[in-house]
Amino acid sequence: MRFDLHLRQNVRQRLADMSSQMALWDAGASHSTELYSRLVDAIQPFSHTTVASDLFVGGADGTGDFPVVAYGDSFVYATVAAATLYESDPVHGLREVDTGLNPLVEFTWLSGSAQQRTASLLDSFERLAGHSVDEVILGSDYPEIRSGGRVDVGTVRAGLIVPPAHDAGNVGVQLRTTAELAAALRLIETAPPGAFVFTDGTMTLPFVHRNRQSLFFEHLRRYCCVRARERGVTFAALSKSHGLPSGVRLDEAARDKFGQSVPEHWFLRMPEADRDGWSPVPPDGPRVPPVGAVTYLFRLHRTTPVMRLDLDAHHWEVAGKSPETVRRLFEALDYAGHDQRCFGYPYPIKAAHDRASLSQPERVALKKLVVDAAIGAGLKRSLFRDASQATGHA
Amino acid sequence: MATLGELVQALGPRFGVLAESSTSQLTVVARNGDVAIGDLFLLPCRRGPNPRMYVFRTTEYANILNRSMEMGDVARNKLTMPDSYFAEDLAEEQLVELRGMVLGYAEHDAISDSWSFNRPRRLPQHLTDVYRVEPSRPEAGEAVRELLRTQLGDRGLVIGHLLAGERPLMSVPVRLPVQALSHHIGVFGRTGCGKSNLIMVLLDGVLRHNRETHGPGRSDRKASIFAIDPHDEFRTWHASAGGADGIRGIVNSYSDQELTDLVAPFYYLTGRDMLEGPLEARVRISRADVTPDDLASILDFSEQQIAFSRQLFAEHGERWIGRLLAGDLGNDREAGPEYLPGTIAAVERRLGFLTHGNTRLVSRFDPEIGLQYESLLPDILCALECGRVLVVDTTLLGELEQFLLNTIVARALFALRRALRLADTPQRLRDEIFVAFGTDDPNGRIGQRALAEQLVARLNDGRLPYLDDVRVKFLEELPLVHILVEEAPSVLNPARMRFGSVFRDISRQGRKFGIGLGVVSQQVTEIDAGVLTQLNTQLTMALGNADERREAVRSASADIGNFMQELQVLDRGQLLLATSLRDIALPIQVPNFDFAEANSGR
Repeated sequence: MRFDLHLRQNVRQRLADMSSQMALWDAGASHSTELYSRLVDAIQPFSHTTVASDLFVGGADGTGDFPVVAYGDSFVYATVAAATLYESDPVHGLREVDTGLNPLVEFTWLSGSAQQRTASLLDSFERLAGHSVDEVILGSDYPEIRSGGRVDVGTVRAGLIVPPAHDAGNVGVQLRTTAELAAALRLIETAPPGAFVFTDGTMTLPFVHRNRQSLFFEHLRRYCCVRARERGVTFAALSKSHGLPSGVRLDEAARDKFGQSVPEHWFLRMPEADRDGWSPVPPDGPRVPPVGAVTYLFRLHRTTPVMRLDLDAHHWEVAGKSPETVRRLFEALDYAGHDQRCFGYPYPIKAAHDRASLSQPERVALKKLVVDAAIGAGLKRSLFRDASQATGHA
Repeated sequence: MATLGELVQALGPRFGVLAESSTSQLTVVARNGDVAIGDLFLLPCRRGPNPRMYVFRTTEYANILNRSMEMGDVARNKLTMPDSYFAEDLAEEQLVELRGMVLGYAEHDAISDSWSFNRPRRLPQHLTDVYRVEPSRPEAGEAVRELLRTQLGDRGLVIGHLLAGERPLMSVPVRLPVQALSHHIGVFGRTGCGKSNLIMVLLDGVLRHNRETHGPGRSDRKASIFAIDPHDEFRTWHASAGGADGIRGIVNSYSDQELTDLVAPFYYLTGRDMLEGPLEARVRISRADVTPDDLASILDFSEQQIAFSRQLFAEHGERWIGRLLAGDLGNDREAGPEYLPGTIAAVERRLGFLTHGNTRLVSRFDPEIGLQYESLLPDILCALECGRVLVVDTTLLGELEQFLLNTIVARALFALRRALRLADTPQRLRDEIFVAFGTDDPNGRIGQRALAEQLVARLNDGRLPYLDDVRVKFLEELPLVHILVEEAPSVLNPARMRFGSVFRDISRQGRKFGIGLGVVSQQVTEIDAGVLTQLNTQLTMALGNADERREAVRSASADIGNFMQELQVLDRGQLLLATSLRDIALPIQVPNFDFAEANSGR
């Protein structure tokens, strides 16, 4: 791209047009006074929590290199995930607990053959999850909350979406999310009852409204919920951005509620039309909370943004909605968010992220390892020449 | 020999993992721990056909966090955020990053079952495991000794133990090849850094070497050292304060035969008249031993003054000083240039320290009035040619006398060995000795006849061991001789070297004749560049300032640029050994002689 793009008149004009549309859209957002006052009423405070005992907080995160190597019509994807568990500690704040869980590392080879890539992808899912695909489908409550009700496992299995090998975006999302949930599942099955296990992101089930097709990680997510309920563990997904329309004036409502310029330590459960009779999100807006989940919006510290927490709705209904339980949940999050490395964000999730993330040199080394292994097995080195680099496109 | 797997097992748990690497520098990420610049690491590698073990030394450490935000951000949070904490991770969050230089790698040869050390021409593998050499683990030291065997030397003078961080590896002695003594050695270090202890260790090493190589059937060359001792410490060391005895203690442990063969006629020379024990002698040389070039090597002389002195020496030979100081230049002077009275007076002034009563070192010489040749110089030269350690207590001598003695011994020995090289028969050798000391009867040159006669007499009776029955010995059959020049900047500075100092020739050609200089100085910058380039071994201790360190690095015979930071933090008794006789420079802890002596079981 040429560096003088920003100087060209037509480029600047296009940007100005788009910005006007954005501003118009923002101004046109609903500013219902009634809705706003309901929002203010829904916001609740919780204590700045500096002391905790017998608190166990875990985090899981996944990442990878998608793809790490490509040759011919084949692609090799590398997936990594890690989970951490911390216990409250009067000296260190949090002290890591040795769960004996190793980071998950998986290599997936997908070719142009639909049969090969389906088998290979599902194999990778099973190795990551530590359970067969059928076990996860059968153990999950996903079929109960999706459209069309329960169908036999073979049909569900046949409806699992397997993207083309070259569709790095979709393959990457599936592998990364599966790995993250697989790490969380292991932690759920290891952590003591009463522990909190968080993943990074939301509890969205993208294909829940479809009859036939689904994604493996949707089943796995719900399987995690089931296992967490069985073990008495609170499983939740935490997202650093709430993703609501700008018309939902959360910061303003919190300011009005507490009379402070940047109030902190507050939460609100996201109302939904079915359960609460109202919702701040327009009918064509994002589906928050997602199906099968309850969503909270909250702020831990003034320097961090309003974040979103999705909880399993079933767990919430049965064991998680009492004011005392909710307050304890956010106090736990606050306590876990006082580490100096990420003040205002639960450290166990960051620790899991740091363990799982791949630096650029590690990606390069990983690629070399994969190529060396392939050559060692008899493939030719020339297969792995990077066409983009060779032609000056990289 | 141990295999790669056995060596790795000896090293204990993994310390870290190689992150980035080039052939000269490595970056390692490691678990948090108490670390120090200079720590030694080993990296096992199977990249080539043979197993390899890379040797790596840290020059820089940094605390890092495991891919979290910058340390500054964390510190800011700690400062400004109330009630913040730093969670304790199982191990991996607080890490250290270390950078350093690759000393080289040892490669295992399966056929000979041995490890050979190579310069760092090849890279280790990606993400290689890194093991720290823990001084507290003797088996780790054994592994290092095996890998660095060719660099540490298995024969020669032990000058200390390899340093790993701040502590020495007691199972890894570092030896200086005996040949280094004749290839000139620089010992640089500021006051109080342990130079005297180092020289004591060196003297002890030479005595041990001579004792070990003594006896029938041993072909190793003996070694001699002529060491000026301005503080009179090497003889008794710290015995009077309850510490170890010095050379006196060592020679006292010798048998009578060993004393005869390895020490006699003396090991200790002093300016004092009262001697305290056997094998000690009153040091004295004669005016007849002094040449104009000796004086020009230690004093400022103008070209006119040196020319005049040389003319006087040519006319009067060994009596030139007496004649000049007596004002008896004679009327029968050979045709030659006339010199101004100012020049003559200036030379007289410079020789003032040699006048009778002004010197305890130099005796008068004038046979015409009954002042015969009285000098220990011939015996000193004979002793050095027999493989002896001679220490000279100069506490009662002036600085100029000390320098003069050093200069005369070095020059006379150099002249003798040149004569030896020129001779092929005993008679020719006798003639060459006279020629070497300027005596040329057919042309009426007196030169240093008395000295030459004394030496020839000792040649004839065997005290000067140049003859093997009727065969003239080869130079290679004689001991390597090392002459320590204390306070070297006084005699080896650029101004002094300009006017034909005797050290100029010795520094350039000495090694051919088995004679080496030991340049001992607090400053590197003050030493003549020509001399510095001739030093094949540098023992660099803690230096006073950055200029001295830079000069030490610049003039080293091996590349020690990467040790720059380490030079800054050297403790007492620690040094960096760089020698052209080895591939790599090594940091060393010199043993404290008090304890080394106690531990030797002598």
